Amino acid sequence: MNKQAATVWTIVIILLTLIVVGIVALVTAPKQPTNGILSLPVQADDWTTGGVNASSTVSLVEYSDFQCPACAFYDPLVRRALSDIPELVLTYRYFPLTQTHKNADLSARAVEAAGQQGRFWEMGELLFTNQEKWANDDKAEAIFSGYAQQLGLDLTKFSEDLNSQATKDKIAKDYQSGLDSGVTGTPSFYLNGKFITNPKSYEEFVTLIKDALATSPAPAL
Amino acid sequence: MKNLSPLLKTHWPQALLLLCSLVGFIDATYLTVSHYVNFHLPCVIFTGCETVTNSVYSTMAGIPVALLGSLFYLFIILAVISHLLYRHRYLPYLLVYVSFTAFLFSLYFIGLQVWVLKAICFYCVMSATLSTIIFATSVYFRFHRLP
Repeated sequence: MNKQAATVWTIVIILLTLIVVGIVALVTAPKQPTNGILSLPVQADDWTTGGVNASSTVSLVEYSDFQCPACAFYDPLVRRALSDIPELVLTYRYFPLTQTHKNADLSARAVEAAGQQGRFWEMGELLFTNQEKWANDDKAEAIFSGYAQQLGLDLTKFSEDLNSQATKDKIAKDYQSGLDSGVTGTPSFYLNGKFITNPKSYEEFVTLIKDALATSPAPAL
Repeated sequence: MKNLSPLLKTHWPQALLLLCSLVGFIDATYLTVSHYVNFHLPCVIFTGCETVTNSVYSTMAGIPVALLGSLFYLFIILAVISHLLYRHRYLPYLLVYVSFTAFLFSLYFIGLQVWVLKAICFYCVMSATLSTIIFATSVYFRFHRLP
């Protein structure tokens, strides 16, 4: 190999290595544009579960979209954490990504409508589990009515609530509080009011929650 | 800069191949790294990438498609530089075959996004466009006896 070729190859290898290192740094950097503080504390009308009979609690607020595959992926992990950690209080907030998910808004309204009949978490689980069946379906509303029937809901009331202004306002309020908190994607988790980067395993998730519980426990409910 | 313009006049296919493959390498490597680093790619406000990159079609026999893309662009970069340095007679042929394969893959993946997944991923469309330009340039490069 002559000297010129050796120089060229060295430059090429250094350049390509720098590109890969730069990309890894970019992807692994935490993505939170603002200060990472939850703008709106948990409200009385929020959908909240867990923490019953616990002496102290830890709050996890999730901004989520029922049509987001990553949210469907995290849902069983969150549920598992709820059963493993009795102190965990989960709050679900709607963050429908309507620009890319055509049934994001409709699915949020369907879960809110089920919530009006006391079956919020059950409907949410059904939607996440069956996400691929309705995500791109033009008749998703009929599928959601089917789930409502399966849960034994009053279908007339379900349909009314699904289209009510109150439901739309509730979703819009959650979405706005997400934007105000700096949420740009889903799922976004806030642990005791502070943004956390999405954990890479269930164990990491549990460690984060337990650390928050140990360092800054919230009062019992 | 004065010396660069006649060089570009004669070597523009190589320059175009290098540029496209470099951009493609960055694009595909970004998706590859995202695949391995993120537990699950989150959904963000303006892209449909998570639907595409989390789909069952995003890996082939356990290998992420994005990684194959990275390797393809890396091959083009190395092949073009090799040709510039050593003038291997068979490299232009090899470029056509490899880039044609990548072009066919791109067509297949665009088809999947439009008709099956019904979600378009910007990074994937960009990669398909670049591999098409690379294929077309390779054909030109092969059939025109350029320096």
